[in-house]
Amino acid sequence: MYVYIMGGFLGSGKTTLLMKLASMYTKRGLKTALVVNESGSVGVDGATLKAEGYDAVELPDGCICCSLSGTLQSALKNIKKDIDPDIIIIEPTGLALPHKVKDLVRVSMIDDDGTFIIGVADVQRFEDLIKKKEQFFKMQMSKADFILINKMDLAKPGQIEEVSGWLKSQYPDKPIMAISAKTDENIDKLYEMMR
Amino acid sequence: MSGDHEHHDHDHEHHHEHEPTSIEQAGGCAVGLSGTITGFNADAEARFAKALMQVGQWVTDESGCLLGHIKAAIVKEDGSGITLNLTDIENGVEHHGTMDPEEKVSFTFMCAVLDVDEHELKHRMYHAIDDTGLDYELEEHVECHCHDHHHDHDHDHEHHHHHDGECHCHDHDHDHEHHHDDGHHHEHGECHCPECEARKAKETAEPKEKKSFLDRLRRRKE
Repeated sequence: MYVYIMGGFLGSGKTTLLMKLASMYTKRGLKTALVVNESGSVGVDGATLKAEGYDAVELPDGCICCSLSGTLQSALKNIKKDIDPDIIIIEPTGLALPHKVKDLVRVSMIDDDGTFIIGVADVQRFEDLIKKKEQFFKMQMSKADFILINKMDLAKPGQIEEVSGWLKSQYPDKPIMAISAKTDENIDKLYEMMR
Repeated sequence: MSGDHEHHDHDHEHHHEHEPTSIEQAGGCAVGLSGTITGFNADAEARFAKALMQVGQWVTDESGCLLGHIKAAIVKEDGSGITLNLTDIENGVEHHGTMDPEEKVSFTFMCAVLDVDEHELKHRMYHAIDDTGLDYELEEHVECHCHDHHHDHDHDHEHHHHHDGECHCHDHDHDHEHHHDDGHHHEHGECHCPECEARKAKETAEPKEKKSFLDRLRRRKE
């Protein structure tokens, strides 16, 4: 069983990508479990997933990397026991630190074959985010196994190169790829990367 | 030895320090509201989308840009429904799914954004929903004092909004400390002068017909 943690800021397209990945794995006959977390007491992502035909374990009202860490561990144990999936995809809130989630997966003793962090960056709002929250963004991406530049369908000319250049300068060892979870650009390549 | 003691004390203090959550580290906040809407249709969906835009615009004005997301789910009893998502003011609200007109639906309205005051955000969300004109009920008890008549006599109206652009609190001619010519003084209580009594009698005789947001809140409070 592999565990993927989607790390990325609020609104970077994690939920859309989660649905895409879930659909990709399911089509290939892999049993996939989804865990979505939202900071507010009221969750919306679960409804989005349900509206699109997916079922997910929802963990609202807190952050699984800190205040809901125990809840996450219990949820993972239950998923392992009840579903025993091939893949678990965890979507923390956009304000979570994915490396902390990875540590929690490790200590939850679910006997996984590997846990990976997928960093997701929004090309459209990248400049604003770096201007205002560069340090936090770096904390989110620091332990990512690879970084995706999402929403390439909305990028202005030169924007992807600019964002890619910045990311490569910060993380020279990490694979970086531009995708569009919405319009499927490079999604097949992503699947190859994740195999 | 003293060094050990110092070290121990330091550790002890450290254990009691509040470790910031990731939300605090990011300077963000998340607020959610839920409730029901009676008479849901395409027009109601458009109105709800407008509420998201209204909050998004406020966040943009307040913090310089919309970093975060503003979302809503509107669902039927069986859990199926639609979701609305705003992450970029220029792109507008994304609509996911479709729903036929429904007599009653549940909704959740959620914002996770940066660099705004959490309480003010919630307040703006309440008003954005109210401004839609939808027939809605919130699950949560709401504290909104926008229209309460609790003036400080030093006129500290910092958090006092007037949606019609006018304040009618002092339409009567009294000075605000209610110092009457006969020397009586109503600093905190009610004023019983003929003008105020007449106005109160009129208000009692002609209750406002419009069931405003605040009326509903007060009803629930009662």
